Amino acid sequence: MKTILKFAFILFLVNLVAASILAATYNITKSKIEEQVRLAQEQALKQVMPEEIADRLESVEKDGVVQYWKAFKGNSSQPNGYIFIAKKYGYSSVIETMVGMKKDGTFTGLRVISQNETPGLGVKIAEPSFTKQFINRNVSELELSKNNIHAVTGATISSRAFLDSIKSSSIEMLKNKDE
Amino acid sequence: MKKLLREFFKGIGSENPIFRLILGLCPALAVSTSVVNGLGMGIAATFVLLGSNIIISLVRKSIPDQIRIPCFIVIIATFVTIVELMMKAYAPELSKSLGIFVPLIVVNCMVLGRAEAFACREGVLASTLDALGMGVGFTLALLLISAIRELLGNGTLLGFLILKSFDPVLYLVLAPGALLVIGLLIGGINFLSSKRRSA
Repeated sequence: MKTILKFAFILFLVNLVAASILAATYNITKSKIEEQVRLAQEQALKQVMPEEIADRLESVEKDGVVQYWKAFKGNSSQPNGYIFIAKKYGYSSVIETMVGMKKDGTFTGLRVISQNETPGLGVKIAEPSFTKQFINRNVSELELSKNNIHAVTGATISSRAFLDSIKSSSIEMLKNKDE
Repeated sequence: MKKLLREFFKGIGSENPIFRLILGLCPALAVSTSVVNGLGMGIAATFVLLGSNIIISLVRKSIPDQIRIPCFIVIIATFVTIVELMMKAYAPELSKSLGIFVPLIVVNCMVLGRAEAFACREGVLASTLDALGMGVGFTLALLLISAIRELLGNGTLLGFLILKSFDPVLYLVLAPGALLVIGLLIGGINFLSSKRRSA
């Protein structure tokens, strides 16, 4: 009985010290991590919407969560384009993409913000060589084919999921933009 | 002094964790797809190894034998979480590409292996050098594997295109390629050392 109490006390001490160190580290890094997340988002927003098309963003929120962004040019009160996040399960992970689109449905930029596809194959959907194919194309003409969007070799499932997610989210976005 | 130096160099050569002890293979297989990932993983594991070896060696006399494993795991997990938070705060890109394999350092058998086999028996200085040697050896091994896989499997090194007119062997970047590269390297090293011994 006495040894059990002794062991329990030692384990308690070890855990107490570990927990306090972790709490301190968490507090030190917390604001920095939040800032990094914010910076990454700002950078992505800038990348998918060139300044010539829109230079002012306004987020549309619902229950405190950002649904999409309206992009304005100059002092215009009518949005010139939209930025939204498209999500779909690819081959081995959910692919999340930030999409910039003009109000007529033409894409201005895409950036994959999170994915965990097969290294060397599926991950190539996040590279500019694949995503830049979408720029200046209209949502109505998107399809995987020889003279349209080329799928990544060996990663047809990831490519198709990526295209589908962007297509369906764009159509949804264009339908709901006035609400 | 000579003995201490030997504790450092054994991790790089004769007791290299990957090529000799065959420990810590899970991250070595999984993240060695690019040199940047390999280096990041190596540094993260070295930091954890160093921290856990020093602390375990310091407290080794006050921890009863029967509950040493849970205590070691808590100490290791603490360092791993520190690395994870630091990486998220100061190297978010690296933390994204290493993903789940940073928290998984907790169950890296190399770290617990050194705690059990070395740090809970030896003094602080020897444990520090042991951790540094093992960490450097692990990092060098990861660099070698990831350089081969990135160069031949993707045609790049550190992200720069090197082999232009060469169709990359995609197979090497995938999981079977990792096993193949590590197997061939271990085989080659065994062959060389057995030749040297018989000569």
